[in-house]
Amino acid sequence: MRANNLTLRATVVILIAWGTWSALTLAGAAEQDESWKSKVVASTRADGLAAWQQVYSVLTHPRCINCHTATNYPQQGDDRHRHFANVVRGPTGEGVAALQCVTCHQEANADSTGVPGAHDWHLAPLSMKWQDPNDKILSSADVCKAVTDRSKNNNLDGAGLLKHHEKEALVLWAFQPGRGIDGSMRTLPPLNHEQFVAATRAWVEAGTPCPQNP
Amino acid sequence: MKTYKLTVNGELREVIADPGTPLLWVLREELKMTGTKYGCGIGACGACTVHLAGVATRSCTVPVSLVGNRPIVTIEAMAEDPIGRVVQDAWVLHDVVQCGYCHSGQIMTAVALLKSMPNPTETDIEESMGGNLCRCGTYVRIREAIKAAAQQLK
Amino acid sequence: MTATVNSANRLQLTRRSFIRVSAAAAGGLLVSLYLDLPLIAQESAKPKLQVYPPDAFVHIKPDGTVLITVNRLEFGQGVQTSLPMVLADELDADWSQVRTELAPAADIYKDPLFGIQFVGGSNSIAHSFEQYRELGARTRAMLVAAAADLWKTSPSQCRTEASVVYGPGGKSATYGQLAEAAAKQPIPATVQLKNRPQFRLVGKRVPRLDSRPKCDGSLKFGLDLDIPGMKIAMVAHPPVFGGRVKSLDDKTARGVEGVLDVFEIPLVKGTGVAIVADKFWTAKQARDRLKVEWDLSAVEHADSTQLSAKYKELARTPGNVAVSRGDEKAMDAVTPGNRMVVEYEFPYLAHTPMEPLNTTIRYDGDRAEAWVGSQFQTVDQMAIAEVLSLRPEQVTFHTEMAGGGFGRRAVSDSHVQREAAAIAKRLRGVPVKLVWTREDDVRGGYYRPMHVHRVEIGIGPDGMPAAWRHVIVGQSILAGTPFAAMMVKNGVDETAVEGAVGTHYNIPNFHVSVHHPTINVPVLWWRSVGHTHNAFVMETLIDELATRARINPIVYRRKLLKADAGKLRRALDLMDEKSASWRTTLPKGHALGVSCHESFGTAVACAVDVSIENNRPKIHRVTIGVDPGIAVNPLTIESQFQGGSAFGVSQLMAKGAITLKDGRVEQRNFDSYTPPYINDAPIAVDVHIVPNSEQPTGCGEPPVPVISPAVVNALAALTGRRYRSLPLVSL
Repeated sequence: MRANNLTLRATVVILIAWGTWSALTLAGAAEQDESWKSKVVASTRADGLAAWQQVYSVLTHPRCINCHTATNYPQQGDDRHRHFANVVRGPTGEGVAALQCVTCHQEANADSTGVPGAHDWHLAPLSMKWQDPNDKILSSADVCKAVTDRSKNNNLDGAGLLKHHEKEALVLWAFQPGRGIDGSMRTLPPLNHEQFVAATRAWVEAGTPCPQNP
Repeated sequence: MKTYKLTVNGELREVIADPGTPLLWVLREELKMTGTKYGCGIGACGACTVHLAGVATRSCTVPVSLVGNRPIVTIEAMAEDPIGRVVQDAWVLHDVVQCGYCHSGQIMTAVALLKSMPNPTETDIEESMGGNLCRCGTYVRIREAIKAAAQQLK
Repeated sequence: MTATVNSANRLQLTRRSFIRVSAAAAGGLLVSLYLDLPLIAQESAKPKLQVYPPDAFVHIKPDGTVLITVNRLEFGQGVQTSLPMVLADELDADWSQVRTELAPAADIYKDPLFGIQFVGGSNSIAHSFEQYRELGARTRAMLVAAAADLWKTSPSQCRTEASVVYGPGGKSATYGQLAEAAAKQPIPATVQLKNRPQFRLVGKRVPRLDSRPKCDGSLKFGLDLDIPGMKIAMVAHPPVFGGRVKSLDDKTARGVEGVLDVFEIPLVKGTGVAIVADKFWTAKQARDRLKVEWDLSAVEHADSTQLSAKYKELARTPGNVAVSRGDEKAMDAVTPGNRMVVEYEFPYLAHTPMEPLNTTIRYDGDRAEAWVGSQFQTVDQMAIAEVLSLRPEQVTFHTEMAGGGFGRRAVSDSHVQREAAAIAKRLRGVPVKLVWTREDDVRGGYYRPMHVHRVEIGIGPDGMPAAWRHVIVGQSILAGTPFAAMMVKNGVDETAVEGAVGTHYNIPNFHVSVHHPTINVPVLWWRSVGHTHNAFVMETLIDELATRARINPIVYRRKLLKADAGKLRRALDLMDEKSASWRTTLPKGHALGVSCHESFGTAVACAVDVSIENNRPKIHRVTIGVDPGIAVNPLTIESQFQGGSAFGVSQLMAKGAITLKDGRVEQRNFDSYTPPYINDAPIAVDVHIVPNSEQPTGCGEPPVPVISPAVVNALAALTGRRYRSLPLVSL
């Protein structure tokens, strides 16, 4: 995957340069040989989709998707079972009056008690659900669609999505999720944070392409 | 071992404890305040509920190192709290307790609910109290007492 | 058993004091009652009474306080209020002056019928009702005699009310004033007890006395005890029951600041490692860092999947006969089309009382002191004495208020107390509190046993059962305990078949047998014991038969019950009456479920209103009709039924099963073994008591057996499915 990244970066840099030049030179041109266009777009799109698949693999990992539910509850564990003690979403995804997320989840991981923590622990809004109401993970196409739908994703454009993946405390948490109740370290997403950000960037720079459902 | 300065029921207390020690055990063993109970140690039962900066908090899940300067309020302070007192009185009037072990946590949770929602619906009560376990099954009377307390506080 | 008391020490004589203050030292009246105790008497026998100085049940202080000692553990059931009510009523005490305390372990506090000090079988009131009445009446008689002497009149000229004796000519004196003189009166051999209409407290909804301290955090449970110099202990138990320590690396554990000692101790079965530390968290950190190599080779590794298969196989063969009535061959005469064969399966259940198990002991060489929230004081005291090479009377045993029990604190082998004693022995002079964490509790065994039932029913032309062949498979709870002699006969453990064997249904050709496999899982009675599974089987099958016969489930039961099942009929009729209005107006998506069952002498009938929400049963309402004989405190009874209904739902919870894999318990805490929360429990429970003047029977356990079959009967109406395997994982 790392090799692909470098190739990807190189390709993207070249393509942007190319695209910029093309835009400038084609601005006024009407009749030109455009056969190169499809070739450039295709490889950009393919690489973008490949980058998206990497992003998707992280988003659908338990450390992320456990809080991107379609239900009124979060999940926990690698088997993504319903979170214990009847904790529920509440009106703003922060739990209910006397049983909030912060009733247990503090600003940092509590390894001694097995409770994960990060700033402002809460559920992603329902518009950002990546599962169906039966807790089944949505397809790559459907998650991509949801993530890029500005009416659902807190009005984030590509740059906004990239920043979210780079800086958001709860996103960062997934990559340093701390110890569980049984003392073992929580399992990590398939990419580390740096790789995740790079994949996001590649995807964004490719124009956030989404795959189709088969 | 580290020294922590904690504000507990309005008083500044100093304790020496291992940073990972849950607030529950600091309260019970360093400060000898046994009103807050140990039921499970993983935040699943609510017996250890205190108010941390006004938020109902399961003290068995919070290491003392993460408390900071947030004020801690425990069951021992509820008799002096205007809402706490009404809730306790409702609990007594409605003969809620059986073994009583869960009720420090139940009351702390109920008080947090009423402080934030003075007119909770049946659903609000069920949701906010939904994470507090009672093996004796006093739930029916808990519901009654919360409604009575809410009425009283109107 | 005597000790000198001087006034300087009087302040230390709190409710924990075993030795009662004598009449001379503190002023007041002590009354004691020693009862001749057969080992286990017939339920109907009346105890023979003797009078015995000086241990006390009642202490009337000069200031008028009436301190009543309760010979039972208070663990939620309200006995600390209801037994004193009985005594205070006969005494004519001012209820507002009554204070109560829990009796320490002593012969005098043993159950009048069973000869041991314990709580169980829902018989606290049943067995001590007369006892406490007599205590109250005797005390009153002595106060009256003292007043009569004082006023030079006769007792018949005096009357009593609210802690005052009134004499002729407007004379009066309070109990507090009379106490010292009354102490000098002879204890009367016979007394006159009140008639029912004379009761002022008994039969009334009297609020419990211990509410306030339980609401303000001031009441101390066993786990809250703090004795000067006390240390905390935890024990690492083998992951498979009966395993042994093979090797121990405690270097890291000992490195935890505050750890005092780490050593191997014997367990009832196998060995474990004890950690002694200054605090709970220290002990836990140290235990988590222990590296123990266990020898698990010499013990059976129980496995739920294997046991299930084994039990089902056993259930297909006849077992030890528990009851055989009528013609064994009657089933053969029933045509196959009129026969039902069904199999039921029940898992191991843990009690998980809210207060984790704990025991505090200080061993001083020639004596010891123990603090335990115990349901089994006599047994636990003996066990501690045995470990410490003392006589039981050398162990001062305090009964602490307990955070629930449900049977978990009554263990014949006193395993927790033995662990604590072994540790206390090593720490000589230093009090040690042994604590079981919740994980220890969930994984520690002593479960309601797993069961398989196989029932064959031959249905008669009238839709009633004409023949019934029932095989039960499950471990014997009492085998290997001192109770076995009394309660395991002809290979049948009474506690495994109760609820089926004693059925009040008039089923001819009724045959119940049982297999008791020996499995390496410690088992124990769980609130209502055998009724937990037998009532489920009986009441769901009866319901199924009713549906099949197209007869209303209440009508069907009425028809099938024996004519002389008086209590059950009355309970059923009362439930019928009180639920009639809502039964017939259930909203769409709701269904009715009905059940009735008698256990521990108390008859209960139950109607539930259930819908399905989020694939779980939602219990909107429960209407109870109950016949418990005299209802001493209807408020307590109501609470027991409201609470017991919620407790009974434990059996239906999706994560409400203890399972084992290769000998290891798979569950660890409330996240994986989940009891009912508020949303799982009934929203409303209305309780109706049949007015009855028969001897009181208990209400601790009777609420439990009826609820799960009633709910499941409602679910059957909603889904068309019958549920034969608990817990309900999906609907």
